[in-house]
Amino acid sequence: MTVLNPAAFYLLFAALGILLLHLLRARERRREVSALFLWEGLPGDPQSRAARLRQQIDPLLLLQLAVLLALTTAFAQPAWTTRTTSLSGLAIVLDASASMRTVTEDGVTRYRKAVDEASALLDRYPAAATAIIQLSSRPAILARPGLPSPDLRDALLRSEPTWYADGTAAELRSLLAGIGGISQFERVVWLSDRSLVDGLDGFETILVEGGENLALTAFSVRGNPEGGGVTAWVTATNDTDAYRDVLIRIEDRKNQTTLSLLMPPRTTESYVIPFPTSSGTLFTASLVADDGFDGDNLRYFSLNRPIDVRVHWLGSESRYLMAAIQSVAPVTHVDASEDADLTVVHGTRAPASPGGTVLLVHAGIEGLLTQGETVATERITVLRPDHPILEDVDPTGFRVREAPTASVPPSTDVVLAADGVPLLAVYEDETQTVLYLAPDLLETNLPITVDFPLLVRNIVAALVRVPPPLSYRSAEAGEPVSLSGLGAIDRLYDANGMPVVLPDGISTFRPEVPGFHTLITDRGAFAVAVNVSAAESGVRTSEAPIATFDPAGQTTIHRLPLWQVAAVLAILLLLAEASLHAGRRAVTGRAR
Amino acid sequence: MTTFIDEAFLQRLANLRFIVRGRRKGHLAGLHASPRAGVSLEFADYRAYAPGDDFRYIDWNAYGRLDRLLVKTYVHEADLPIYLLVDLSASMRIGVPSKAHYAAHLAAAMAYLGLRGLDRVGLFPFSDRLMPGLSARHGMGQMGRILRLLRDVEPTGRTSVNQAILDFLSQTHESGLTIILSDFLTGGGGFADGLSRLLHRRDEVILLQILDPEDVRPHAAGATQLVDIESSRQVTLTIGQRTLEDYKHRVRQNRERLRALSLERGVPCFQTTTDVPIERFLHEDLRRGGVLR
Repeated sequence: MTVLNPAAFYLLFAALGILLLHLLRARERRREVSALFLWEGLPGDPQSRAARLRQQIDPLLLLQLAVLLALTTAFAQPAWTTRTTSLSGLAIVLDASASMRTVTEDGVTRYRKAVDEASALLDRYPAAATAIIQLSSRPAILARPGLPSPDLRDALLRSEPTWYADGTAAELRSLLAGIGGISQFERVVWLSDRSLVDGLDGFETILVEGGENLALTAFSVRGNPEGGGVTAWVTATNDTDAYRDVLIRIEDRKNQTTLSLLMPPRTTESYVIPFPTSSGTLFTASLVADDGFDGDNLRYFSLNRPIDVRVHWLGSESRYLMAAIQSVAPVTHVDASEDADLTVVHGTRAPASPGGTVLLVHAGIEGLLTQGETVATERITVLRPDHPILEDVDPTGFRVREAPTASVPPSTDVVLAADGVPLLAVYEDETQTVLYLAPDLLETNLPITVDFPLLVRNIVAALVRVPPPLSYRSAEAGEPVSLSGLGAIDRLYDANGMPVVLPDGISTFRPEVPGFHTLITDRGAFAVAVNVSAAESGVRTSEAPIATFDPAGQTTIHRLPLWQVAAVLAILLLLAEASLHAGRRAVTGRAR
Repeated sequence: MTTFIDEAFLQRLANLRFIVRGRRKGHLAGLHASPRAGVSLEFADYRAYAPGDDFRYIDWNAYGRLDRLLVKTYVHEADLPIYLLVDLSASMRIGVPSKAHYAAHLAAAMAYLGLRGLDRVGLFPFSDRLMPGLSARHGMGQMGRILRLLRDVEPTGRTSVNQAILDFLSQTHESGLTIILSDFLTGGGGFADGLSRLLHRRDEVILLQILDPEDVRPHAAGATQLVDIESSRQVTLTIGQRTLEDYKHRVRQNRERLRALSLERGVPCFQTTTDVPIERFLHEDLRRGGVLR
């Protein structure tokens, strides 16, 4: 219902005049009677409710006001607005990432709510050529345009969310291009618990939210340098509005250790959990809590040591560094750099470059990279955030108290720096690859951060150029995992023990579910720990503007004028008023 | 006063006629039985023959059986003067239709019934005194005069039934059926004295009280200036439900007093309001009350 001439409502001020006249008339009525003696001496009834009500609520007055209201309404030109919704092309894009498995307060998952919304869209646009797409890190087309409505609905209802990470707009764009391009869709509706950060123009979003989440967003395990047991690093998130008691349990299939916590609301905290009794290689971290999404309450980690790395060590010992390297791969010490896969120089200056791959930790190489005086450092600057060495590493948590200045070759790629001092840099030429880690580890917090083993993993992978053990890759459901360098592949089983068929010549696969996958090659059996993407934990809010779905958008508006109805009503009310008035006069006449 | 009687209305009165309880004297033959024995078809009694009696009325059969001369007497059917006393005071102006209109309508109907029964009908409008009226006469010519008088007289002045009866008695000397049509809303004076005088003259009296529905069930509410239509006196009253109940109680008392007086004097009294159709009042109330048949 719309009003085309709202200014007409100013006419309602005339009601004040009607009320005033009524009050003036109602002040005292004159009435002729046959016999006054019958009235004389009767007690008045000033408190009579009926008298007051009848004075206040005069039907004649009400009718007059109703006439005025109806006339005003007629002049305001009300119209009944109807919208016809017809589309030629509609793309329904369902977020099928793991977070859509979150159970909401309604008892259904976010994905099911999205399906309901999508179903309503199908009802709204029955004639549109509709495509239904699942978007995740592995987008899929559920229904192509042109399918009849029952098939569309069937495909929609049969669909399930995945364990994969979020998809991107680029992936969606390429998917839409495969089915004729985005231009054929008048409307593209995105149903998700987030907005597309890099959203496409013309996307409309229907947010499906709800459900609380507590999660483990990071988990790694490192063997203790002293030997005996392991230390686990866990990052937990309380994405609720309340303090929550949680229990973190680390298991290695034989033993377990637990940590009981009270987590403040909306916080993410990391914990170091010693696990001295562990002798296993496959670890599961579980967060025992009641929340809507249990997929991220479990994280898996594998301490495989499938391939020995030959290390030639120069300089002083560093148990932390050695432990980190050993956690990447089994280490064999060799005496000559020629026989080594990796030369580690720690706390000294090498007289000449050993050649090959060199890891300099608080060390230098005569003539190539020399360290100067030590200066205090405060703020770490990430110069190359996309460098492979920083893959899965969050350097913002690093703290370096002091580091030596250094003269580095001009082509050195400085990844991290602090106050102009290079902290992490890579130099490469035809004969050697040198990775330079400037500070003394004991002057940093690196050994006790959860990211240190990851950093060392990346360094070893970059230098040694052998595939690192699968466990240290952040294998995520839906992400491609390379299996090359592990020997001839015999069989691969997923987390549920079901065989995974790999096409001939393909050495990568995309795990579909979280858990331990088992790879059997001619060099042995390897466990692949697959986790839900940490990005799926918690409800993300985007600062990007959201084009909220507007049901009225792109619809044709029809207005059915209703002023005639109001006018007829006004006339009828006027007649009723006149009739009542005449009746009153008749009664008054009788009284006379 | 507008025309209030028409052919269709008169036709609906065709089967009605007055019933008179006592036999009244009359000097002209009519349809009402007179105590004066006379020539008619209706046998009344025997009496001993007295010299001078008409030989034609001696019952010779009875003489044969009883050896006594007996003369048969017959009921003498005489005409009955019907006096219509119509209150046309100012209070009769109240209502739509006004009580005066209703009373005039009713009076015209009764005049028609009387004249059609070969009775003499007279009309005497009154307020606080008797207004110029029409003495009782025969014939439908009288009907026209009655209608004209009812049409021409405007209700005005105060009400005094007593005074009107006194005036009426001084103008008419023959008793008859006297029908008084009024609202009988008289303050202090009443009319018991006048009624006694009428009965003393051996008039047969019928009282017809005509009220407006608003007289009985007023709908006034709130602060109201009440004006007496006859005296123009004013009273301002805030009328509520309780006030109305008290008023209705007074009206009931007033009507009950009228009924009690009529019962005491043996006078039929009928009460109606102007929202009751006249035909219904005639056919139901007056027939059931034994005034018409």
